[in-house]
Amino acid sequence: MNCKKIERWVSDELDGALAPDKKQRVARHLATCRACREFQRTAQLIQTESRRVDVPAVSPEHLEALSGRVWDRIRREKGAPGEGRWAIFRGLRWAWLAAPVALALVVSVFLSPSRVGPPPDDVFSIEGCFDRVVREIAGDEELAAGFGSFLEESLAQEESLLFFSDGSALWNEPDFWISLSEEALGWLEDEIKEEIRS
Amino acid sequence: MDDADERELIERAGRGDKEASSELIRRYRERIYRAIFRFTRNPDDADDLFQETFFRVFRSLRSFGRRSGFYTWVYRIAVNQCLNFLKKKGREMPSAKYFQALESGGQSPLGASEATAATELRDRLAAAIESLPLSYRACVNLVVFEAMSHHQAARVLGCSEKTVSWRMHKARKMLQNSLRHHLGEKSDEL
Repeated sequence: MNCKKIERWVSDELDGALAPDKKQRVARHLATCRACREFQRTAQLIQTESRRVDVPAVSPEHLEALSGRVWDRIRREKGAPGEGRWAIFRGLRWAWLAAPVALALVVSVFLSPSRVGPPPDDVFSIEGCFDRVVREIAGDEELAAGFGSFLEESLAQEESLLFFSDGSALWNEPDFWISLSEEALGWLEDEIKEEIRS
Repeated sequence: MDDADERELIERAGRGDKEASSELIRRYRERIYRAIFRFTRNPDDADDLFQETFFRVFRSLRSFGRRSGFYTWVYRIAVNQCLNFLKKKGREMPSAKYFQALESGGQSPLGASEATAATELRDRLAAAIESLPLSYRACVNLVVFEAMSHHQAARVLGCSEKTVSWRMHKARKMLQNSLRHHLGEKSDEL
């Protein structure tokens, strides 16, 4: 039995993620392999001690003050027409949205001609996704840059990230669409088209 | 509070109801703050990220699709905020000094010289976890500290369960290598 595989299974077992049939195989291997027993011992020790690592207590008053600031910010940003950053985005909004809207139209017309239009908040259709981009995402440059860079670094490296174990696609997750950069959107366009074809 | 109550709160908050928004924050703020603090280990940064997280939550509340629970959704936004923040700050390896101390077996820079051996190990462990590459630290935070299953952690991080499993294994190996001398001492005591 490969010790590397056993170590991985020991790690899974510590997280409660190991199948019962594998537990028996791990136990049999550990009975004969000192190196793997040592891995298990130290991994268990780390697990136990990690859970004792404290996070300093934060007072309810402090959390209340922070919560108040959140609400103040929401009120400021959503304030009267013409106030805050929304006013700036209002002017730029349609320029920002031109690319995703054009893309959504192309996809709707050429790839999904039978669809009439996305129902509200339907993230399970390509049109719905782009509709969500239009309404919720585009316009927030900071968020787009941050999440876009996260996507480019992470998704491009690991194909497995695109799908969950139940077969659902990452882009169907609601907050996936919270923000996308232009580059990420272009890259995802190819992925989504591929998905539609398959 | 049951799901129906929470759904109603979310709908009201989505319409701009302050009471509902406050109640939602109140319900999850402590857990979210602690989760953020585990990433930043800095109260000022945690304060900023906490506010940013809930601000984004309420700004995008209409896009909450209910495919995951509300807490999971908020948690995902918090984790994404932390990861982006730490990447931007270039603080993936903030604790080089701790690692140097670990490697040399010298005195902990956390001031643990007068503390018990157990406390010292915990300090070193905290520093070692903080020094893990971000993607591994995120997995450790979710699986070990938040006691999430691989499935839940995968949902939060937007990756597969296999990826979480693999990263947890690698993280454990890295922590063992960093702490090998201290782990031996500690285990003898136990």
